Amino acid sequence: MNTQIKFTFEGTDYVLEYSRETAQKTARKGLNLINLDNDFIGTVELLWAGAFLKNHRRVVNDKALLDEIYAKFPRKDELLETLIKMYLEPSQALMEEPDEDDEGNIKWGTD
Amino acid sequence: MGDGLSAVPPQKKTFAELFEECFPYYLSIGMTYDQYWRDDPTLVKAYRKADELRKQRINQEAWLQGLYYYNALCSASPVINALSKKKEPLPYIEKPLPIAKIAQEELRRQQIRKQQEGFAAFAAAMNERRRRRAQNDGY
Repeated sequence: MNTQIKFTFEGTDYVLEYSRETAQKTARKGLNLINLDNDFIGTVELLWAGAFLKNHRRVVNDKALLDEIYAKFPRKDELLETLIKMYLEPSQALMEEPDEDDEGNIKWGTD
Repeated sequence: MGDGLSAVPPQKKTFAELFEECFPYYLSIGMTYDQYWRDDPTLVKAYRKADELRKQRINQEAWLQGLYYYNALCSASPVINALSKKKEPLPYIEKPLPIAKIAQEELRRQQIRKQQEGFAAFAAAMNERRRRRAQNDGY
C-alpha cells in the first residue's frame, strides 16, 4: 500500500497521495528535488500541491487554500519527509528489491 | 587511460522516461493503464511477484507433462523395442499423479492404512502360530 496523508480540514476529508501520473505531471511542472537547497519554498510548494492532484484536483489551483492548510500542519519536517517519500514511491516501486531471505544481501543500518 | 573520473556519467532518466520505459512490461503481465498510471503505485510489486509465480507454475506444469510422457513411453516400451520379448505394452498409470496437497494427503492416509493392515495380519499370524505351538506342547 502506498503512503498517504489523511486529514480533515473545515469539515472536508482529504487524502493526499501520489500516483505515477500525478508524479509525472508534478515533475513536468518543474519539481526537481535537487533544487530543495537552492529553492526550498518553490520545491515545497510544488510537492505540496502535487499531493492534492490525485484526489483533490480542484484544490490544486486554489493557492490560498493550499497555503492555509499547509500553515496549519504541525511537524513540518516530518511532513516534508513524508511528501518526498510519497513523491518518490512511484519510481522506487519500479526498482527490484532483493528477497528478504537472500544470503548475499548486505546488512545495513543507521546510527 | 586517465584517472577514471573522466568517464561519461550514465544518462539520468526523468520520471516520464522511466515510467514510459517500464509501462509495456507491466501491460504484458496484466496491469491495465489505470492501474499503472492512476492506482496505488506500489501495486507493481505484487504484479512482479505474481508474474514470477506464474512462470514457476508454467515450469511445474511442463515438468509434470514431461513426466506423463515419460510414463507413457515406459509403458509402451515393450512394443516399441523390437528386441523385446514382451509384445504387450505395460499398463499406463491408473490414476493421475498426486501433485495436489489433497491428493498427497489421501495417498499418505492410504499408505498408513496399508501398513496398519499389514501389521495386523502379521500379528494375527504370529498369534496363530503361538497358539498352535501351545496346543502341540499340550498347554
